[in-house]
Amino acid sequence: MNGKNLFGVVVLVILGLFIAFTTVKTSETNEISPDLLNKKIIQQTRYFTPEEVAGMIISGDPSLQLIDVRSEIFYNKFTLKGAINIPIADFLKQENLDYLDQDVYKTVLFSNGTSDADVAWILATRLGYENVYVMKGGLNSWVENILQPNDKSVIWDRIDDEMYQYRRGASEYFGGKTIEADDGGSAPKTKKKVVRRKKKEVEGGCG
Amino acid sequence: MEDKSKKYMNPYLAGVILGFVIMAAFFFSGEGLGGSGAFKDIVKTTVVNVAPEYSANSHYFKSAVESEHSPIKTWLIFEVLGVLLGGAISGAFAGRLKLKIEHSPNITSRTRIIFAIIGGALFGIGSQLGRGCTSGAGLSGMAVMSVSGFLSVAAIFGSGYLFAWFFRKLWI
Amino acid sequence: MAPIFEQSSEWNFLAALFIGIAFGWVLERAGFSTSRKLAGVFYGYDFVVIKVFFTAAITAALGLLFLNFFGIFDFEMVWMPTTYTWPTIVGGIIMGLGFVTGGFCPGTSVCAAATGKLDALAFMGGIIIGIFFYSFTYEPLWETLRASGKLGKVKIGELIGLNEGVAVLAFIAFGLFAFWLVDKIKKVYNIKDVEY
Repeated sequence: MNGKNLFGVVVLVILGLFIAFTTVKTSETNEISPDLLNKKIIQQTRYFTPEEVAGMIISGDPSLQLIDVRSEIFYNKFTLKGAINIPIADFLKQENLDYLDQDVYKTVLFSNGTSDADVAWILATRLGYENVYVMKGGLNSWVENILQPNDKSVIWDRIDDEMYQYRRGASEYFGGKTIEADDGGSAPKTKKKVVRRKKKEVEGGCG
Repeated sequence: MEDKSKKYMNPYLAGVILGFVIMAAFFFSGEGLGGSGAFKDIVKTTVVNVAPEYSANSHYFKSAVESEHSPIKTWLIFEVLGVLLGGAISGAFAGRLKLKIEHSPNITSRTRIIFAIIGGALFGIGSQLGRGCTSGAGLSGMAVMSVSGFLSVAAIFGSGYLFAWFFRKLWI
Repeated sequence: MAPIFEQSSEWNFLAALFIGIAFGWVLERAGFSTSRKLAGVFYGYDFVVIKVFFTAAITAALGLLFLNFFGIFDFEMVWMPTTYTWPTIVGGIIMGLGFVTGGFCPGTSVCAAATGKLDALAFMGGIIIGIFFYSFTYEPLWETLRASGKLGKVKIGELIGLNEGVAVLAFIAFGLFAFWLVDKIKKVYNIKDVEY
């Protein structure tokens, strides 16, 4: 061992011994900055429509994790297939946060409307969790669009025929009302396995 | 003096400097160094732009579609561009810039290229599965004393020594 | 308090470029732009990889703790990998195999390509092919494995029950032992230098 190496070893050991007697200081916050949070909040990509969620449930998407943030009473009455219940009041408990602290599943939060799920989304995002989404319109929209699509048929005027067929198929799958065929004769062919997501424009990209 | 510049640096000195580079990366940007992440971004951007329909349904590409910012503009892309520049600058100063296929005298250039591609492909797969390559997961992971970093280094070098015997003809 | 730059600010990308230049410069200077020198670590004729690698990791680990000690660095604010045991091990084994066949790792291949090594360019092409293969076979082959064995953002000290500083000291001791060992191995087995 030559002199230079010996010098290096001595320096390393002294510094190491010194640091061994210190403790790590942490601020205990890994929250994201308000600036970044704001940017994330205004992104529409944090929402899934009920149709998209229905599609994922029907196709058995293994990366989907549904979280019902309503109270247990509501949860026991009705919830989505495979959803777990984390009432918003208990949202920050450690055992519940474990469901969110991962980068594998798409976590979709939902409540009756959008707002409670939005609050939960902000909490989760503030804590730095990725892949968290909100079901837009919540269960209200789910019931209107997926379980009883015929109630709305007058309003949306069947402009989006494909969407209408889709909702009808999804409605049957989830045991909502079955709707009679309306264009005389041809029985409605329920598309059960349709997983057609709305074509989204690719954001960004190097043009 | 001229001759000395052509030699390689003392490995321990290089290690200390590299350590400071890692510290700088964490200090200024809060990121670790990396290599494979940039390649991943290139692939993602390509697929997302060429086949948006496909990528929207693929679990792997979904994350790239969802993100607001362009995936090409990530930290690692700039860092890897820097590596390209830094390597070229250093090579130029040391007089090591030369187009060549480097291989052991026992094998042909063609064999070397074929195995380089195979090795690259394996690294591509492994780095995606293991969440980073030698520098990304291993070096930067060890710098923050993460279990992941040590595990990754142990697995890479362990496997390297395990398989080294089978491929010895390639190198010695 | 570190990190200095906002994540998506232009300054941060500029910093990335300069850090990358420094990274590439050190790699080239240390001789990491030649695959035969890198592969030497597996055949005992050149242990430069072990030396540079562990010295860098030790320096950085120690340095970051010192920055933390002086109150200008917060570990909670920076990148920290989440540990997934199985994918890391399996991925590492695949990468190790890639290392002995290809002779580079992604970072060094970029650096080597910059100095005109065509085999490094082929290696980079290979990486792209590999990632394409992985992405198209992600759902059937890799998705379940990739999510298995999750430990969370755990540090080595926490895992074996040591204070962070003591863990770094142990790491230093391990590194010094490794440096001594590799020189000894080369001497004892009388391994010849390989010309490259």
